[in-house]
Amino acid sequence: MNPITNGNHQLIQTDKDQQNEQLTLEEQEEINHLLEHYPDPGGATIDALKTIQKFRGWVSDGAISALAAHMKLPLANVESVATFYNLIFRQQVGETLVHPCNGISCLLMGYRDIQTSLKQNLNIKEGETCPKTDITLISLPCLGACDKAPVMFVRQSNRSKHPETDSLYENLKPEEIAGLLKQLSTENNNKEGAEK
Amino acid sequence: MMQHTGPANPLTLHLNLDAPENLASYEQAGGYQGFKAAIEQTPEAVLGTIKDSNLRGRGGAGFPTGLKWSFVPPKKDATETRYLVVNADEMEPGAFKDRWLMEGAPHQLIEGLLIGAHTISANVAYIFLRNEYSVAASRLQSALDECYEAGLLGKNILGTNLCLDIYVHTSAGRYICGEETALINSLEGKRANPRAKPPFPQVAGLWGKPTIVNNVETFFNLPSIIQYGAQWYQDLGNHKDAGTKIFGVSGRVKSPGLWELPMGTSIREIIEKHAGGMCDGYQLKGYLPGGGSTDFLLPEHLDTPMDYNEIGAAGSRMGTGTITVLDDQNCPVEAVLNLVGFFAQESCGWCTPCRDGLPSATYVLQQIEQGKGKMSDLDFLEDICELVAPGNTFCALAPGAAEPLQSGLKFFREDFEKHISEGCCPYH
Repeated sequence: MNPITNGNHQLIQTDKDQQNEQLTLEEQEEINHLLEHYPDPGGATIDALKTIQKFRGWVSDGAISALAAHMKLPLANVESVATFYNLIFRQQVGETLVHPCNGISCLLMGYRDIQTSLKQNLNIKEGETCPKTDITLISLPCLGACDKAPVMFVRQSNRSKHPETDSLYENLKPEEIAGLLKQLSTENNNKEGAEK
Repeated sequence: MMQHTGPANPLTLHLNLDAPENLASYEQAGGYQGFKAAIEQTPEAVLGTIKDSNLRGRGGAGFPTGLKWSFVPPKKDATETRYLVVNADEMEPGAFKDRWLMEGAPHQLIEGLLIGAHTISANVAYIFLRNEYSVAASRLQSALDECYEAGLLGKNILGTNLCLDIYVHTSAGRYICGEETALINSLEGKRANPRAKPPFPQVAGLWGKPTIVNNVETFFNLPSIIQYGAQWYQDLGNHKDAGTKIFGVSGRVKSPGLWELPMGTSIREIIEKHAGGMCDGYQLKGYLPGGGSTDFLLPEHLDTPMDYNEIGAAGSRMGTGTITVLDDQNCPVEAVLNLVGFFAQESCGWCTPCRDGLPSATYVLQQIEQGKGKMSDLDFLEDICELVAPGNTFCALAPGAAEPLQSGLKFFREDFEKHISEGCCPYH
């Protein structure tokens, strides 16, 4: 695993640092709204973790601790949920997530070649982030579009200006991957350009 | 009062994937008539119709819906909260029907929930949706917003005593959340480990309250059952089971897709007629009749009707009714490895046979696929199937994983042996 590091940014935090992290007002507001959907604050845990992830891209130890304090839940409860689900990221991921489907129908229709092409073009292994394009590769189980296999789900987030945009690429061919990745990394660069 | 004539395609009547009907057009096309018919009857009468219709749960297990609902105890007092939960966490490998239904007709799911809420006096419903189904999430949310505005949701719906709030809850990706008690734990904000039964969710489910969990397609059936009656619904089936079902085919067939067909339609008709048969140059080797957790069947079983009991008698399960075909150029060992590997990854880790048995099986299958297997590995894999058999595990996940493994070992034994004797995969 090779998370992107921002210069000298220290990824390993001490317990004291962990407790210093706070939720932004925007995050708090969204989480408070989610709490209204459930009779017990625990119910909003997954939604709240996803909210954090939407703003920050991933869920750090510090964010879990801040979230537990805000929701008045035991830290262990929030942590146990945060480490259970495939789509809650506990380390940094890129702004573009590419998720080729490795379900049975996609496997039978050519997932392996798609995955190989993604790895070669990005020059990374499964689970890693390409530093140049900020694209992370994570294969996901059956995406429920088996009649259009092989498929790939792409989620792009722009952390300062969400929402996320999701797209599903269908009937993929390995030779289309290079062009698709180029398009995805340009979209990323354009967004960054627009922010500046 | 009851009409005995109705549409032949009640599940897809309103389906439009490019632009789903909004509230006005859904109502204009006859939508919410089932719900309006339901609230003029007592909950007992509605439950009676659902029971008489012989509707069976469309999530995979095929449990009779009316019977499931009849276990909800009478309401203690008017303020007691009761929950309805839609299991829309479609993650079964090879299943793709619920996404299609929700994206194509979001109002039909809401109508099914309204009928359910009236029947069991539920006042809160959650649609437990897969994270990746973002199109379905936004279409459902717009439909919900329209219903609130029109007084079809919220307090005193259409001037009656019925109150219902519906929330879309998007999950974060774990197959085990499809198990109803694990889903309830997940909704409560806990790790999605399954719960011991009893108590059953109908008595003590979400936050200890009576809770009904049903699949998307099950709720889709309700409006027309109430509108056109149990007898009409039963007559829709071709064989013993009632109604229609969404069947699908994926894999190397000419036209993969989904179709609404009568229950009891033969597998042959689905694969050869609706999916157009195998692509040129490919032969049918076998198929999973209803998703990754169902036993493989062979071409010799093609004339079996897609009916819960008939598929059971053939040695498999109806499951989700979405067929995955294996052709003669697919490696069956790789297919079984993919499925067992998936279940190993998705095990919640709660009970030992599943947590330890499935990764061991995955490792051995990898060895065989890479040409490093031994003949004794096949006995080991058979032992694992016994180890994770129903009764030895906490829930149905591991027994489901054993289904493609045990049937793969039985039907494609030659392929497994060839990998071992030749020391390589003959397909790659």
